[in-house]
Amino acid sequence: MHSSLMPLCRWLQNTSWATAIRTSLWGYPFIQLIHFSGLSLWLGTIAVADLRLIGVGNKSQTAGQVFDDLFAWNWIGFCTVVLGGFLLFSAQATTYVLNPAFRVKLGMVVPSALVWHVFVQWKTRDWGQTVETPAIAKLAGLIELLLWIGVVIAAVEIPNY
Amino acid sequence: VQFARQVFPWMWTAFALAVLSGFLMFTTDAGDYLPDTVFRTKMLVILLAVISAIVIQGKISKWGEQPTLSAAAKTAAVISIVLWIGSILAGVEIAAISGLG
Repeated sequence: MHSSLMPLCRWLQNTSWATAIRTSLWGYPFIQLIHFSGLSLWLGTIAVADLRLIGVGNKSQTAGQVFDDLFAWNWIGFCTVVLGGFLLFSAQATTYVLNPAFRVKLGMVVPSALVWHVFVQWKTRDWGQTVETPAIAKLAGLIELLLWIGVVIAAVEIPNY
Repeated sequence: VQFARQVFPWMWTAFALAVLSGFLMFTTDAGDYLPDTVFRTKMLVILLAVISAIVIQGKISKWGEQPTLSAAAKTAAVISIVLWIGSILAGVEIAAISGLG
């Protein structure tokens, strides 16, 4: 499958902006900054929301209220982390597309985690009505946290391959 | 304010984890990290960011009572965000400039 992606990856990393990111001393760290800042927002809001769903900690707001409060920042974080990630990928596309850890991260774990995240956000409209969340909601929140931890593990393994 | 108070315990728990794991990473190459200017800058920025976090946490009840947020509250928030993003920047620059990690 990756053989058909290679021409696209080669084109991507030869664009002027991708080349600039790859070759400048400041470009790459700056794009990393965007990626990690977006990640902080994305994962931070997910962690607060899921921990409330699981039911640990303070319960002065329902899980539904917490999810609603965090919804905008959650998806702003998502847009930021994806933008940064795409730019990082573009700088060295042909290398990343062959990296096993990257392929597991973006091909398997991120889609799974993302689908699960949307499902949990949607279901929390029901689950998050009461102060105490149903058992299935706690399990769903825990699964989401584990999936995103999996994404981070895959990501930090990328340099090792 | 109610929301912030719920988040604070998780915030400091996460910070403790970050400090612990950061320290462990530091020990793997302490001799190279310690004299490094970029690393030292990062530690300074984090120190300032933590101070700003403590100040905000202390003032949040008072600020939450105001009908509209005061300029001081907004300034504190901006400073805090800038410092924490600055910590990330300093962190990624360690590898880029000094080649460590």
